[in-house]
Amino acid sequence: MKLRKTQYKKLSDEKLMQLISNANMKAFNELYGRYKQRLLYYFYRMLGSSQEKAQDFLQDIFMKIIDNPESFDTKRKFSTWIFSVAHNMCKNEYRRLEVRKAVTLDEQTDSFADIFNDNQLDLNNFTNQLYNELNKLDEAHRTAFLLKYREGFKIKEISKALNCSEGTVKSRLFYTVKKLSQKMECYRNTCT
Amino acid sequence: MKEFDNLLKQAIQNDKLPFDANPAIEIRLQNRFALNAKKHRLFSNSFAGIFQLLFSPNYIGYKAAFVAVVISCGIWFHHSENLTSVTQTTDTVAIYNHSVFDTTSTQAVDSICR
Repeated sequence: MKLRKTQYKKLSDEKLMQLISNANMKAFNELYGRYKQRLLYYFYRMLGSSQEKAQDFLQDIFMKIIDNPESFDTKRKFSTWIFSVAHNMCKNEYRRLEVRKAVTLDEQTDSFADIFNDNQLDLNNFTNQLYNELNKLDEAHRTAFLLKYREGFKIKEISKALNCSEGTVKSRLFYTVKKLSQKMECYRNTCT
Repeated sequence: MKEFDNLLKQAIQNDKLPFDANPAIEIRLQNRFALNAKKHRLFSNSFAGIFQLLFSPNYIGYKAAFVAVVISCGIWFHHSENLTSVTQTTDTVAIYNHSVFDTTSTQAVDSICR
C-alpha cells in the first residue's frame, strides 16, 4: 500500500503498526514521531530524571517494535500497549538497580519548602516539588499517576496497561494524590 | 482537594523536558528497520555456515557426485591434451633447416639434402 506522507498522519496507531509489520518505514517514522516525546517524558520521570537512561530506553522500546512487531495484538489499543511495555521495562530496571536513591531527594525537599514561605504559587517550583515527592513513591503508584495526569488515560486503560484491576488503579491514584497533598500542604493551602 | 487535583494536572501537563530525543536514535532505528525489512541478519562469523555445509554429512551423495564429475573432467582433459601434443612423422621433399653460414672456414655439413 503506497501512501503519501500526509496520509500517514491520518492513520491510527494500530493501522500504522499493521503497516510496520509489512516493513513500511514511513509508517514507522510516523509512529516514532507521535510517541518519541511522550515516551521520553515517561522514561525520564520514571527513571530518576536521567536523560541518558531515558534516551536509551526510548531506543530500546522502538527496537523491540522493529524486531518483533507481531507482538502487538492489533485488537488492543496501541497507546496502552506501548505504555505497558514501557512500564515493564522500568520495572526490570528497578529490579536491576534494587535500591532507589531517595536519600538525595529528601535533602532537596527541606530546602525547597523555604522557597514557599510567602505562599506564592510558582508552577515550576511546584512541579519540581511534585516530582521530588513522586520519586519517593514506588513505581506502580508513579506509573498510574503519570498515565492519568500526563497521558490522560482512563482508569480502564491504565488497568490494561499495568495489567491490574480498575480497583487497584483507583486505589493507587487515591493514595498517590493523598500522599502528595499531605507532603505539599503549603501548596494545597494556596489552592483553597 | 478538587483544586489541588487540577493543580496537579496543570503542573504535569505543562511540564516540558529540558531536552529532545537524540536524532541519532532515529537514524539508528531507521537503519535497523531497513536491515530487518530486507531480512538480512548479521552473524559474528559469516563463513561458519558455508564450512559447516561443506563438511557436514548432509547432501553427501551430491557432494560425492560433484567430486567424481570434477575428477573425471580433469582426467579427460589431461588425456585429450596428450593426444593433441603427439608428434606426427611425415615425409616431405622440401629442405628443412637450410642455414647460411657467414664464415671463412669450411664447415662440415652432415646432411644428405642440398
